[in-house]
Amino acid sequence: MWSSGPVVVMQVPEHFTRRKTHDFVQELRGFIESKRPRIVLDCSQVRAIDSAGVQALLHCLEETLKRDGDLKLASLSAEAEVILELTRVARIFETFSTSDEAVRSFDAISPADFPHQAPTYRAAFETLRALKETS
Amino acid sequence: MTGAIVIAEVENREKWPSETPGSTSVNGRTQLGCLAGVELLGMSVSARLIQTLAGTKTIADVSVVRDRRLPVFDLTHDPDVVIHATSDVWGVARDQLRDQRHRGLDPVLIIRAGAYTECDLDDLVRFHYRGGEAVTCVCDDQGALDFWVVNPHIASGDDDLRTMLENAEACYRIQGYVNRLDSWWELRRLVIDGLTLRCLFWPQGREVRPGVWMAEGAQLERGARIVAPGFIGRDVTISDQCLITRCTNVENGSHVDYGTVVEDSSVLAGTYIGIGLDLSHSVAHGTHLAHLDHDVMLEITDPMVVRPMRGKHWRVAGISPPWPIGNQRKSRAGNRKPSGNT
Repeated sequence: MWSSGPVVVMQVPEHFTRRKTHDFVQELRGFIESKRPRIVLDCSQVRAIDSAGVQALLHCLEETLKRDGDLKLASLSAEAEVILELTRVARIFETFSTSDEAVRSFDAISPADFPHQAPTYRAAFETLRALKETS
Repeated sequence: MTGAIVIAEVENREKWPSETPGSTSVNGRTQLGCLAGVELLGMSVSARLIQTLAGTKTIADVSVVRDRRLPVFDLTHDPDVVIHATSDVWGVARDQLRDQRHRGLDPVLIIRAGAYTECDLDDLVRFHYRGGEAVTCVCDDQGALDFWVVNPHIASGDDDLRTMLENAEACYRIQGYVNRLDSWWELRRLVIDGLTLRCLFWPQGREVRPGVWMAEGAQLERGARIVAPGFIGRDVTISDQCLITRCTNVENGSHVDYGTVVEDSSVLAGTYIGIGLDLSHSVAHGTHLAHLDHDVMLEITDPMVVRPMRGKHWRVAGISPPWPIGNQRKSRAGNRKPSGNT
């Protein structure tokens, strides 16, 4: 595992099955529980995933999203891609062809980076209300 | 009258799914005799071949020589067809050729089960007679097929039959449909061509509505939907909210469970497909999944996703079950508590 700035890149084990998921999630827990975690899971080594593995991925994503962060998948092996498609999970994750690409994607301006400001359509609503009142 | 010998053997067998733990590429050529024994659209290529030969009026005798190592599968229900199970396939085939010569059958067709071919047999026999060679080999654009016409009187019975066939000098170019069935792609192509009626590989079932065939005992639960063309085999269960679409065939004794979508795929006999899955561009077989788009063969050990159905369906499919049947029975018996008073 290596860290790239605020983004954590972690290698998913070759056999991501029931036996390995617990240790993997435990290892990742420290990063997930941080503020706005940014995690990239490198799936290039994955040869087998079972339902526990898929569940672990979903759990990590859920926990990350709860903390206003994101979890992205990178370098998906054909095996990982097949299983994620088969279990309808692929569409939930953002996937990238390389870990670097996934890390760079976090540098794009996220909605959280925008300053909170009044929505631009407020004036339109006020005009509409005024029109209703006059009518 | 003409004779015919069909050879089903395991020679040149590449790793079959049940022998390959983990994942492998599906790019390699799959074993010849095996895919021919796999039930597709209700009946295997081998069984269809034997049925066609047995049903041809000009063919007086059909002998089948089956490699003993091949799993038992339903080759034929025709009582006139004799099946010889042996470990010396070519030796027994040579004996059968001699036997047919003694019975005055001339010429004799020798076909090694593998490719699916649609051939005008009368035209082939005429071509063979005109050529006057001992052996005529049937070819297509890609080269020789394992299909020969032999003059048993000219062909010396003492020679190695296989060498004699491989040295055939005359070549008959087949005009009809050919599928070599040597890869999973070819298997899917045959299914698609069969369902879209591009060849005579017709589904064995009742066409319940245009393009949708269902065999006896198939159960389609309320809310399940089949988009034509598609085939549902014998004793198949398609659970509620499932969608079977784009030239999919679900073979004998399989079960597609609740809410799963099967698209452009083949579910081979005796396979369970779990709940809420998206199976596309694949061939599923027991614990194995060949994904054709990703070119990968996976072994899925999670029984919630895919697993073999227990029962006779594996035998019918012509594929060895991934579990040792004998050992499992033994272990069950071993665990059983002794009955009676102790």
